[in-house]
Amino acid sequence: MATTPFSSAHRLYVKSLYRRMLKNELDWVVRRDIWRGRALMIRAEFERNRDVQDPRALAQIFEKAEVELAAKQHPDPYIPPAMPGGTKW
Amino acid sequence: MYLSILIFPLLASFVSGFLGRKIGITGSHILTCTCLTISSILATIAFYEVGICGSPVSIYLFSWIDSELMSISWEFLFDQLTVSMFIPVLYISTLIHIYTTSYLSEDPHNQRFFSYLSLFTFFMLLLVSGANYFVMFIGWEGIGVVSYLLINFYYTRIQANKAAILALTMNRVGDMGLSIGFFALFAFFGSLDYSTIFSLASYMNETALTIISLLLLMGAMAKSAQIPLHSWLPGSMEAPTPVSALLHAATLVTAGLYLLVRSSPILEYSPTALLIITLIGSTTAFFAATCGLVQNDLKRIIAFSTISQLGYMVMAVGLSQYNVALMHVVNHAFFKALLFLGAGAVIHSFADEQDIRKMGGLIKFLPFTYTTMLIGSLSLLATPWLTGFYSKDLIIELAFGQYAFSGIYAYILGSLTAGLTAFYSFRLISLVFLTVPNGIKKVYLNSHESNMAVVIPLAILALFSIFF
Repeated sequence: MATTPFSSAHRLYVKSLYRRMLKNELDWVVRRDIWRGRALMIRAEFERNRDVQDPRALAQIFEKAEVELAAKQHPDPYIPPAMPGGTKW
Repeated sequence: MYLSILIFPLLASFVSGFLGRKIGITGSHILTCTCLTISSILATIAFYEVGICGSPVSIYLFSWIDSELMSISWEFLFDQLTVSMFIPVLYISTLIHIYTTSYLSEDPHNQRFFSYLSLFTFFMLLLVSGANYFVMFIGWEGIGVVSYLLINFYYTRIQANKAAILALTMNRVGDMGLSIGFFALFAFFGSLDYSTIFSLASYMNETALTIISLLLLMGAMAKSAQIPLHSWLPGSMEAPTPVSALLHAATLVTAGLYLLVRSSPILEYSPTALLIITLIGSTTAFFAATCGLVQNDLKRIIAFSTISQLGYMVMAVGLSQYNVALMHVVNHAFFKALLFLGAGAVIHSFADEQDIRKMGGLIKFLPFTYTTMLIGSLSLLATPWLTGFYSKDLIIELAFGQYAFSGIYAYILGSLTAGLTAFYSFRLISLVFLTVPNGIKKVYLNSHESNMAVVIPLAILALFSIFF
């Protein structure tokens, strides 16, 4: 496997951010066929910043992304029934 | 015979609760369903004798409290209002008992659940058959306590604990007002008997009657989830679905309406109280419908729909149309119980998923459940010639026919609410059954219609939603 200049913590954080954005989008859109197009747009935004390595620039990008995600957060996010906060938890 | 209508559910509850280990799960099922069925048959005979043939029955057992001026006895009154309430309570309770034999078949606490359901039925019957406000209050408190026990059935879940305590404490707020109303009734009338109070009401001071009416309204507002005492009802969806169908659609929430309709001789002499009742009912109907538009939990949508329809009933009481309010109580009980039981069938077939955003396309997998839920929804929408049409549409027409501000307010909000009801009802049907599948493939592969114990109650309730 090729080595990357990013630490495992960084990769985990980016993956977490990506998953949270996708899940939030699905909460709003509901229909998976429509969500697929929005998911590709989110992926494109991540790809645009793929090669940024400067830590300060990365921190600014992450902060902006978190602020945007918080602003668009769904008030009633989907929680699977058996997960904490779910109807069968 | 009349008292045995009450005794059978109590017997079933005691045996299932205290001898549950002896009789086992199957014994508990057979005993409670049989007792409820017998009670339903007796209630049908009572409805024929009292409601259709017009011969009310009054049964005096014995004196309970005899202290100077206060004389309260264990007395029961079976008049047209009482037997009209018997029919939805007992029929729906019986069908839900049958439904639950399948729905909770894997639960290890079946005996406790059936005991609570039967005990609730007993207290509800006690509430509607009392001949004085005190016996009614015994039933009133009883259904509050059993409602707590049922919402908290899954007592290891913290959310269920919170919801049950919320329901109990909010109902206690209303009970406080109701109790003070009883004190006022006794202070002015010297008795809590219906016959004494209603025959003297026309001679009483209007201000006194207004105060008493508003205090009774406070109790009704909490029980029937009117604004601002409505928030316990969506939270009580933590209970198993049969509980939601019985308590929070058909019986407990109609106790407040029963109190208002029973107290109509007092309310009629207080125009101020009727005005406030109309305004509260209309506002509740509209507000709850707007809340239902944005819910994603299947049971919560139906819960807010229930609050909205209760608003219509209270609105009808405020317009002095007690018969129409009672008719909507009965019609609503059947189609709302149908919707809840159908929702339960959907949830069970879909791996306990309740979020409608993760459903879709279930019409191919659950055609019978879809049909029954569609019938329930169409009846809720007051589709012409279904049962809901005859009561709900009449309430809106009667509001239009009242040439006063309260009538216009009720008419406008009632009409808007009808539109919103159509929107969220079809949003529910569309997202659950008609739209593209949004759930997990494995869940769809295991999805199938429920067995006969679920199908038969759904079919009977669907028939009642069309032809009652």
